[in-house]
Formats: sequence, C-alpha cells, structure tokens
Amino acid sequence: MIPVIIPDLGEEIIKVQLVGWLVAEGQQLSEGEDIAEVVTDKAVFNIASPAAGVFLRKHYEAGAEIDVGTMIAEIG
Amino acid sequence: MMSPIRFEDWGIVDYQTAWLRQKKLVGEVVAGAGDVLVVCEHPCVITLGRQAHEQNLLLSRSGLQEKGVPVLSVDRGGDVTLHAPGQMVVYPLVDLKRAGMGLKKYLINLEQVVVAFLAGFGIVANGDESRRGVWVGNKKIASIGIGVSRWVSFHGIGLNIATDLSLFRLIRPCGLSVEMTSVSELLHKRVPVSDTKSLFGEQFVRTFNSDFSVKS
Repeated sequence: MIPVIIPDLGEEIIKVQLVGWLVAEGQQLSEGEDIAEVVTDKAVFNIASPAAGVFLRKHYEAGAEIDVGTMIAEIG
Repeated sequence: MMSPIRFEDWGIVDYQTAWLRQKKLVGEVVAGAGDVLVVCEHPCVITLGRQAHEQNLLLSRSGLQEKGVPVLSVDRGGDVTLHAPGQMVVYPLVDLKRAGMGLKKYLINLEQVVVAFLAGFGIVANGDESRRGVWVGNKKIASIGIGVSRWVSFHGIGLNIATDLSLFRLIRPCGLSVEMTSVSELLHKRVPVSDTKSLFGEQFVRTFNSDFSVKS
C-alpha cells in the first residue's frame, strides 16, 4: 500500500479543505496524475498520485478539514 | 531566485481557450520548461472558484445568460469574480518548488507585484492577508485566485485597469460586499490595458527576482 499524503504547502499552512476527488476507487492511476483538489487561502492545490497503481481507498469526503501531513488515501 | 520567465501577451482571448492554453503550459513547465507569464483580457465572463457561493451571483443564471454573460465553475481558489475587457488578467505559470516558494509566499508576492505596479502610477495600494487581493482604501482593485498542479501555478490575478465597473453589480466580488475600482477611475483618465502590460511584466520580474524574455 502506498499512502497519499497532504504535502507541506509552505509557510504557516497547517490545514486544508478537501474540495473533492478527481478519481474513483478502483481506478487505475499513473504516477503524478491529479487525484484530488484541496483548497487553502485562495489557492486550489491538486494532490497528485505518488505512484502508478490502483486507487484503493479514500479516507475523507469532500468538505473535510484535514491537517497537512495526513494520509488521505491509499494506492496499491 | 526564479529561473528566467517568458512573457506572453495573448491579447483578448476567450476564457476557456485561455484555460486550455494554461493547462498545456502547466504540462510543459512540469516537464521542465521555463516559467511563463501570460497577460491577456477576456470578453465578459463570471467565474466561480472552488470556494464560491451561488448567492454571490446577484442576478439569476438565466438573467446573466440573457445579458450574454457566461458563468463558469473553475479550478482556482476563491469565490466569484468577473472578467471583462479593460481588466488585465495575469496568469503566471511558475514552478513554485523550483522558485522555493510555498503557497502563501506566492500569494503575497502576487499582491506585492500589483502594489508595486500601482505605485508606478502614484496609486497607494495594499495587500490584505485576511481578504486576499489588492485594495486602494476600502475599494478593491485586483482579485487573486490560483490553482497549483504538481507545484506549477495557474490562474492568477484580475487587475482592473479600465474595466466597466458597473459590471461588478452582477456579483458580490469574492463574496464580499465591496466596491471595485480601477486605475482609470483613480487617475480620472482612461488608461488602455495595452499601455500597461509590459510595465506589469517588468514589475513581476523585479518582485519575483527573475530574468525575462518576451514572446508575442
């Protein structure tokens, strides 16, 4: 299992809101593919797949407030 | 210090065409190409960012359609905004990792470019962390909202140079009950966007401490 983690977004940003998922569970992903959108402070940041594989499971739904560094999904 | 940046003037271009061109450039920058600074104007269009609330449209969608103003949901931060001729739209496609910037630093830099650009016209403006954008007193002159894909920025700034400000009555800009202003209103004379684009580019380079090349 490969975790998908909210990366460090820089200066003082500790929390983001999940806008939504761009892919569905069970979908085949390529490395670097955008899989989710999070938003903070007038910026939408696309979360990319860290590896090629199958999108196994999402841990959060749209609208969730999530700390930076949190695992939000699994790829296998 | 940022890598050299290429300046592109797209003239007046349809919003969706510009969005597709931005996406293509993002892919190129992700693949290792240099950063790009795009300036353009759009025919009148309202866009809803990912933090938008429908009630910030002050006319129904059908009413806007009758007026010929499209409403689009787009992949940037922020609420509702409006683009129209006379507004300089700025799309920096910047590799933020390469430039050593996090999201907040980048947003602050965008505000600071506009503040410094306006100072060149004798206009005193300021950014505001609690309500992003650039302000002249209590009036808003520039709106900011960005997207970032694989650490490359897209979307950017809408800066009112000679915008028909009455159009902003169609929306609650950025979800705020604010008055908008423009360079032309503040200087009491019409300033064409075309006269300001290269000045903006030069200020962008100074603020971001980058080199510059021009492609028209």
